[in-house]
Amino acid sequence: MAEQPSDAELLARHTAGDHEAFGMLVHRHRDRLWAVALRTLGDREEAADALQDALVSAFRAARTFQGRSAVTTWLHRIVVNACLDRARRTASRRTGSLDQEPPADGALGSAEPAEASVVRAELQREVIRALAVLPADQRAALVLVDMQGYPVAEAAEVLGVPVGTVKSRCARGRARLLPLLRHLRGEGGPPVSRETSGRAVSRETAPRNPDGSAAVPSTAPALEGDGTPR
Amino acid sequence: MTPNSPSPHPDLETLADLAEDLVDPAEATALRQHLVNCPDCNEIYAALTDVGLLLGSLDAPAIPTEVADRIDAALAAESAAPALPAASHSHAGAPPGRSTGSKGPGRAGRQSTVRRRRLTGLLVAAAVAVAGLTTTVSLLLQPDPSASHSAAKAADSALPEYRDDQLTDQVHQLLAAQPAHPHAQSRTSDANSACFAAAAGHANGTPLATGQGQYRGSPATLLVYPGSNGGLDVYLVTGGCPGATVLLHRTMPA
Repeated sequence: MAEQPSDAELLARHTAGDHEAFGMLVHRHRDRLWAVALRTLGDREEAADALQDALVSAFRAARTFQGRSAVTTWLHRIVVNACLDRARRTASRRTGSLDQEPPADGALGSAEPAEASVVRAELQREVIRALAVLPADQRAALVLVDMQGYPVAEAAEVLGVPVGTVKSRCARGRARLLPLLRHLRGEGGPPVSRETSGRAVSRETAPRNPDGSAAVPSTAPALEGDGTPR
Repeated sequence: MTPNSPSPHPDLETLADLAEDLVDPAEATALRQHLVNCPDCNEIYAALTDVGLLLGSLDAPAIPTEVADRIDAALAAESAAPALPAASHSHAGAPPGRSTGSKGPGRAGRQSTVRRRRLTGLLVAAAVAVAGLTTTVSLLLQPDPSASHSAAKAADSALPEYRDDQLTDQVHQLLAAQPAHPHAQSRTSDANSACFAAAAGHANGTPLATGQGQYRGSPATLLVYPGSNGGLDVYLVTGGCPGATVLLHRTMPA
């Protein structure tokens, strides 16, 4: 094989009837798309269903792709929409689904030495439980911007909302997460004194950083402050 | 309210908005002034940044193999489905030598698109759950009694030939021959039929009837599901498990 075809080329080949092209496109991006789906929904089965639905509908809708955005942005948009639809449906069916069951293994990083990965696994669970408390719109914005690292402008395109809306959702989401995650600051942090919500994360499982190399960034002391100084 | 502080403490959301430049300039100036003089608020402001950094520090999960596999399978089934929105004359899965442009099912398939999309995931999950079973292919219903012992995969010439122009009649014959309690039968579904059902996008639905036969020279399983508006959703599916593909999808009146 010569050069790797671009995403846009693959999509064009797909619409022209190339049976392989869409699969190649999916293989190229599926890890990222999976991460978005899993983190937005917090449930492995739901995420798998959403991702599959989204990719099948992208497969069918490929001809509607106008090339105004990157193919990846388009794919992300379809996946995120599928997740949000599902999250809304699920929210109306049951409450607190995300913290009823622990996140599946798939939600966790792999290929790390046991100890470190255990700590990180705990951290992941804590964060996913905390994220579950947020409204889906805020969660999706934080997943894209803070977790996946997309520029706000791209997240706005994915979510189909103005940049300011993305910033606002991120801001509100972080404000809501802070009281839930403050204990992650590790040992030495004061106990969380505030009632954060009915399902505050359990402090016993707060990860420690054995080597002091905080999973929480080094500016973390700030995390121990009281939520609202009033 | 701390008596010593020069201005009231902003709440958490205001600080978060400030960090995103969402506060109007005059207020922002006042808030920044406050942060300079108020270590508590300053700390919270920094903590909000930390929340974002913490989120960004987590490892992104890789897609699990089984999820990747079922998505590949769903896309493969899609490649073969007549509902593929290809404008051109040839499209994925169409047997060579026959144009698909003349067929109605493209439109009909569209109608059920929404439902198929919703169900496919569930169905594939169900198929995976059943895939461990080792029963042989059960021929739930034989349009041609003389073929009742042929294995599903054997391209047995005694099997009925499903034809585009006769399919409606064939489906109705199949339904007429169906026992009174199709639900009892569906319990005998084996791994292959579950895969077929999944490929057809009905994995968690019970087919009204199923039959074995041939379609355009390939062994094919006919699946009949209740469709929208009281009609029938009919699929011809071929292939093994996994990898079953839809040869034809048509809706027809019951």
